[in-house]
Amino acid sequence: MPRVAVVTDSTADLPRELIEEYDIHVVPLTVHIDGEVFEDRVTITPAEFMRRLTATSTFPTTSQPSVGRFQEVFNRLAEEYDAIISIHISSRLSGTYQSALLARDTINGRLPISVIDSRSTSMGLGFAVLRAAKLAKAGYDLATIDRATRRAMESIHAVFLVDTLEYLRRGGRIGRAAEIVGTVLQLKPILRLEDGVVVPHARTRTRRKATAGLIELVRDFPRIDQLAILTTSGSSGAERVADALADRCPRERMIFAELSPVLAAHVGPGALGVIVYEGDAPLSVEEVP
Amino acid sequence: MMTREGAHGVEHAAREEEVDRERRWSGAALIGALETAVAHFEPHVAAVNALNVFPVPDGDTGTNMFLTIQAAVREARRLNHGSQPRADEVLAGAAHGALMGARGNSGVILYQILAGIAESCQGVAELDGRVFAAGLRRAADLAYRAVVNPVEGTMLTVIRAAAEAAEIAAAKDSALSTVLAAALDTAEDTVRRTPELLDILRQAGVVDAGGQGLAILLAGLQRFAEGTTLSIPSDEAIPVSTAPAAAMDFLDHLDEMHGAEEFGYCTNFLLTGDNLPVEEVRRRMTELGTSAVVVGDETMLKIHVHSEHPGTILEIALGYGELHQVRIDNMTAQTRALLEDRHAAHPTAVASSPAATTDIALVAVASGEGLTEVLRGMGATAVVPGGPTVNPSTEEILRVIAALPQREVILLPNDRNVIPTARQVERLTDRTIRVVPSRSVPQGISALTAFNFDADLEENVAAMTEALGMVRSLALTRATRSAQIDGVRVEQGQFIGLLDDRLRAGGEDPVDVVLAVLAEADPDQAELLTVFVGEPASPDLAGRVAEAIGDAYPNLTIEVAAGDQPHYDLIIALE
Repeated sequence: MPRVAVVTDSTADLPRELIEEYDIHVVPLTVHIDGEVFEDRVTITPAEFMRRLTATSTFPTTSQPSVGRFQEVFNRLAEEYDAIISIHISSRLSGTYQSALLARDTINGRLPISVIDSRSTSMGLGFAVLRAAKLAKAGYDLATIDRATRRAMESIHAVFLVDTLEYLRRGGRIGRAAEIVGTVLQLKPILRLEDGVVVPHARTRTRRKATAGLIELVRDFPRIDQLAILTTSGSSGAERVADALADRCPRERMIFAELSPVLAAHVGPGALGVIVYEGDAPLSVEEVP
Repeated sequence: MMTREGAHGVEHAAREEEVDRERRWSGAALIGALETAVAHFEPHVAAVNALNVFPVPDGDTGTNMFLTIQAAVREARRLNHGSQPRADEVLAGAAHGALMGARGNSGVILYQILAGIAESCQGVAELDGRVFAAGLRRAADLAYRAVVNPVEGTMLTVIRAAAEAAEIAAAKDSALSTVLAAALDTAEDTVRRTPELLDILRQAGVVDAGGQGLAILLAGLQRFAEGTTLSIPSDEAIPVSTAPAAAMDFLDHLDEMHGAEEFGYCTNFLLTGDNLPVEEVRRRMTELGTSAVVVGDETMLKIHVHSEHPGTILEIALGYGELHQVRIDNMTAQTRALLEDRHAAHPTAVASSPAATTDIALVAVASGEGLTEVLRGMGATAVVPGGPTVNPSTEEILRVIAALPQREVILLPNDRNVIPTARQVERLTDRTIRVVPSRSVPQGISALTAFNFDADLEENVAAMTEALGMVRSLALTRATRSAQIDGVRVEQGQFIGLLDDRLRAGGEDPVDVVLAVLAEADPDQAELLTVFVGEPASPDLAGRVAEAIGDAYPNLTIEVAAGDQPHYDLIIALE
């Protein structure tokens, strides 16, 4: 039975128990705040980061894991596994995917490594990783897992609201939502990730309307298998969203998580996101061993 | 001394050459044809640059194509001077020259086209229409294959259409001029259709630059076939004329068309080696960047790719072989430079830039610089000046709509009396117009917040119309005469407060009037109150009003913005 290791990065926002249950290897990004450098979720928790973020007047920055870090992880996993699938935050939001690609090339030939740009992040990445990890645990080969993961990516949709566009703008992750920046009036816009880039959905002006709009947007998906509801640490709103969606998705199929410090650095305090997973596409007959 | 007969003989030979040049080209004629094409292209360089919006609006398509074809001709001539060259030798030389000299996306595709023609001409001493048509077909196939994600409405569409027309013409008549004429006709037609195929061109109001360049080159060849010989501009007379940025209107709308992403670095190089894995290299380049074009064979590849990380690209390529002629351009900087040029030429060009990337234009009516800016910030594509007491005419609204690229327009009259005018507009243009009957600026803003980037026209009209009811509009102004309306008695010159266009309070103190009107508007149910300060307002009015409201309703978020509207001291939105 081939052993395939599953690697992702810290922005996947997967709950600890799932990471452990499925043996997922997480490579941290780095977040810089007030002159200090932290490894995402390793040397700083979401709660501690949010405490610092609300206390400071400066804007944090982030950086991708180094090629060396990936090399190290890939080489270590090569001892134990026959292949690696490494799934990452959208290459249009972070250089993490690039680092993983370069690392793969340096250890070329030692074992097959498939590096995937999830075109999403947070649990939008997390659901794809979970799909891969479940198949890896069931003993599927790399090619099958790779295909199934890419299919799963098609069934994942990320929608979110922010209290201010300032963090996305300053961090250079504003994408096509740039066009809604610059209004004299405050906005609590609803945004989406599309093809790995932030795009605007609506220019809502109040938190309440934005939340209602976000719920509406999620309800419009004809198929919902699982939901993830993400908040920045300490911010409320997840419960209200969960209640409003309970008739479309039972509580036990919802994952609640806090955004990793790296993502929180780019969306700012008060961001609220929902990831819709429409469900696993079935494997083809040939793929089932 | 020349005899009559001798002179006649020369004339005769010249005529024969003319006839011959219409039908088929030897190697020497081919060099003449290519030189004519280069000379014919040269004056068009700036115009083609000005069309360049796709894939990156860096205004260099014309320059790139010119330099590429010039390099092709130079190499063809260098390899074939003196002797009586064969057509296939000249074409092989031209293709090689283009490969070495290709710059940018369009240059690389142009090389691919020359390579395709050269390939189908192997073993051919004289190029005729049939061989040329087959060459165009091969060129189109190769060009599509070279581009990793082919996009219609570009050079690719043009070369394919030209090839098809050439094949049909060649089946009837193998004369080169006939086939060229057919290819040129279709190419020009296809260029005109490129905005229908590629939305970014339609938004920018241009045809595809590369496609246009190709049509110009075909026209140059056609001129030669018809007897015109132009000599190539002196070798070093490379037109440094970059795009006339002032003419590139689309630069004002870059964000809408491309999003505000950075364009990264345009990375070009040759990769040589033994047994290069062409497909693998192509796949890797696609993974690493955008607009990747990889052409050539196992011994030499020309690579063009856009990436934020050119170093990574080169590093990866080094793993396959040796690098030559590495050229990296910062496209973000190029685009920025063009933008700056344009702004220098037209200082006001930026101010008119609309802010929506969608296919639906949102046109609002309002007076006052502040309100105009607010509405634009909330997504209005254009604002027609007008409002209470200065209603815009149907024609004024039409004129604004006519200047917009969008085919679908939602109109926000923002005043009860402008609604009928707006409805007139629906019938007076071939665009699809929908009126969302906003009776005030607060209603107009509320409608704009309901605009959904992911929905179509009818869904948006429904959502925006629904949003009209989600806001209360308050206004503070002065009574123009004494009156008693709806039980409220006011004296001329006093402050009066309106709630949704109805008189609700009057008095000497504006703060009291606002508070009295606000009390009737269910402020405890609201989240946000926005105050737009008008022209007649005294400087401290907005501050006093905001403070009083904040004290009375501490749960309300209060925002104050400049409205600059005439007549109304304050316009207040409560939602």
